Amino acid sequence: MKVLVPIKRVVDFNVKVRVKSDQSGVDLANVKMSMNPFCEIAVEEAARLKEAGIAEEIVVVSIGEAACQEQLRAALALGADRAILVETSKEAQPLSIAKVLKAIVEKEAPELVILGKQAIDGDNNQTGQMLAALTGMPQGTFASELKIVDGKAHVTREVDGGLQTLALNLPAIVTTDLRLNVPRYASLPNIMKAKKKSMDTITPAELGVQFNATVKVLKVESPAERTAGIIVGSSAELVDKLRSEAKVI
Amino acid sequence: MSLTKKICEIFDAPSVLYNDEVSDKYASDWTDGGKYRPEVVLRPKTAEDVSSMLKLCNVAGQQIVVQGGLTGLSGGASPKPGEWSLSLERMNQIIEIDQDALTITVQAGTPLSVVQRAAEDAGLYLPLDLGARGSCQIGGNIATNAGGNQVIKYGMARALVSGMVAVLADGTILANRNKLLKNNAGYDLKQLFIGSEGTLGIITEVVLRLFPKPITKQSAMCALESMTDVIHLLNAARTRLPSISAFEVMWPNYFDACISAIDDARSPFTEKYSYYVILESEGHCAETDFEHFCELLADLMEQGIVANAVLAQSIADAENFWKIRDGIGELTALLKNAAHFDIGIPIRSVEACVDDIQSTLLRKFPSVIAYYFGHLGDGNFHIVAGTENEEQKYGVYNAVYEITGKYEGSITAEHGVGSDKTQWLHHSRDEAEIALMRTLKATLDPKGILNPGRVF
Ligand SMILES: Cc1cc2nc3c(=O)[nH]c(=O)nc-3n(C[C@H](O)[C@H](O)[C@H](O)COP(=O)(O)OP(=O)(O)OC[C@H]3O[C@@H](n4cnc5c(N)ncnc54)[C@H](O)[C@@H]3O)c2cc1C
Repeated sequence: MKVLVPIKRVVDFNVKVRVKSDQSGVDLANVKMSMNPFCEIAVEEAARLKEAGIAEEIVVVSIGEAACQEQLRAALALGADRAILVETSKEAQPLSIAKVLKAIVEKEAPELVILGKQAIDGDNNQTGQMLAALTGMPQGTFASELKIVDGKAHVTREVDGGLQTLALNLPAIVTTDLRLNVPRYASLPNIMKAKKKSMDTITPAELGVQFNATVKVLKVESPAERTAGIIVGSSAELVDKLRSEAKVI
Repeated sequence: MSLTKKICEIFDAPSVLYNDEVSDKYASDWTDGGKYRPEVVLRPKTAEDVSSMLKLCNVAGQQIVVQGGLTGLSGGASPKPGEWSLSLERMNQIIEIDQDALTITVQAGTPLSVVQRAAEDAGLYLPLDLGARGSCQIGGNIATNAGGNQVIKYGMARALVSGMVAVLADGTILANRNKLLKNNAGYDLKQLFIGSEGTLGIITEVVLRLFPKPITKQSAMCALESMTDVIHLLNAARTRLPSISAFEVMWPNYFDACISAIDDARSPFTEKYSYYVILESEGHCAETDFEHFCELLADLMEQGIVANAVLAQSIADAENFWKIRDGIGELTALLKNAAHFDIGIPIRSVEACVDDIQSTLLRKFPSVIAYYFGHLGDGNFHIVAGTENEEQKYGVYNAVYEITGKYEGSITAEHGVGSDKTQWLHHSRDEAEIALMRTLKATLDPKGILNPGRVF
């Protein structure tokens, strides 16, 4: 089967971002960019399906500037077979991305689309669900386990108070949670091989998709600075402070 | 009037801790040596405070141990019986950042991580970094001429010091807040206080060099099959990369022990190899740096020099490589009576020296478990050896230091001699050198009140 994995280029999880002085967003100049960690998990899951002989081809797609090729190459090094860059310099919001992905799904006809449950930049948690609505495909979100049995995708989901397992008819959409797997490292031989794999570039217009911003960011602010903690000398002092200063007991 | 009384009269209460006010934290540095809680802890706020405190102590012949962040690994800051402590913990002000000279001026008691952050907030970079960053003080780093993870690119702490204020035992203040890159007007006196572990004077303020922050960083974990290959990788990386910022080697028993002992350390490889190297390079070109890094490693792999390698695609990947290298803390906790070494060996002798140490330990102390790893690019590696008892531990120290001397190595590449290694100094320094050290000490501190019994 063919697996489609959309991936996103985001500010590296370990970078401490700074808000721009005009509060229009965060400063991206000279900031380390990486693949969204949930997307890495999606790529890893696809690679495992391929190693298990279930998937035949893994196609990765990213929507954004030419620099996204860096993350597509990384995905190719982790096991994807070919990459598509949908190049645009416009801000990519979930609905526009889902519309582009719908067009890609129509073109590529994958039996499984694995996405990260959210990207750590906007924390939107919308793209997978919107894609499911637009394509009419069944969805299994927040997957902590994925099995393909008898032509169905069995998705174990982390829900409040326990686990829920769904059986989805294929083609289906799965979004990944943190515990689905631990992604591998990119080995040097695989990075070199990835350089030879195919990478196509198209534009949203060529896919017939209008890129419209439907959400406008008014202002971005840093969280309030937390005041430093103190070390109390005794449990009596702790109780006293909880009572007189924190007023919680 | 007693000295204690005199000092209490001149200084306010927070400046002098006496008897019961002295907590256990002042009783030793990171080593678990003597544990003598000093009777008095002096806590100056300015160089002038330090000067008048020392003046009084010098007249009275009161011996002083200088205490920074107390993370030292050679017992230098642990009080000996009868010594008072002088702690720089209240001298922690950032004084100035000069964006044109690329310098930062700070009081010596400022924790390293605070200085790092101040530089970063100004869009600049202080390249000194070590595991104890949150607790150690910049003054302690300079007094021990600390090394750390990026020596291969930026040099030891010494290379980062531009100017200094230091106070001599008799209270004389030597203030030279030099920011000039070139200044040959007379002896460079600050060098006397760098790496002399508080025996010649107390550092109270420093001017440090800052750098533009590199934009990119590439990290790889490489697997190799021989020390010749490791050295080949080092040389190729030095020639072909814009700058190597780390070259950390791990011997296989260390690597395997970390992987099995530490929960979130995982090996990037399915097979086992003879050596593992963390290679890091920094640069200023986001488009090409990673490409060059890959090409170098690919070429070496083709030539059969690098057996295998994984490259970090995110900061988290790189942090996972370092989890293995930094796992020594947790690994040490599992050893009994651990002997710690930070020896320096000329790079081309490293293999012979380690073989010699391994076979000697095996012959003399077959039960000893020893792990080998280190900053090989700097010719500096660490050994941590678990021993059965104090006597065996002492035997291990003797054996290893003797071998170190044989290979013209250093008994301490980073951590300093302190109180713990004085008896082995002769393996690395000859009689004439040690005699001159004594002359310097007698000249600057004739009564021997500052950190007596440290270094020699
Ligand atoms: C987890 C960990 C990791 C470490 N990693 C490294 C490493 O990678 N590289 C390395 O080189 N070291 C390392 N060290 C040891 C290192 O020497 C210390 O961490 C640090 O440099 C000492 O600073 P400190 O302020 O804690 O000094 P202290 O321990 O307080 O003192 C060290 C010596 O300096 C003297 N001293 C302190 N302040 C002054 C001053 N202002 N003026 C004059 N003398 C002074 C003291 O008397 C003592 O002799 C490590 C230690 C730990 C605990």
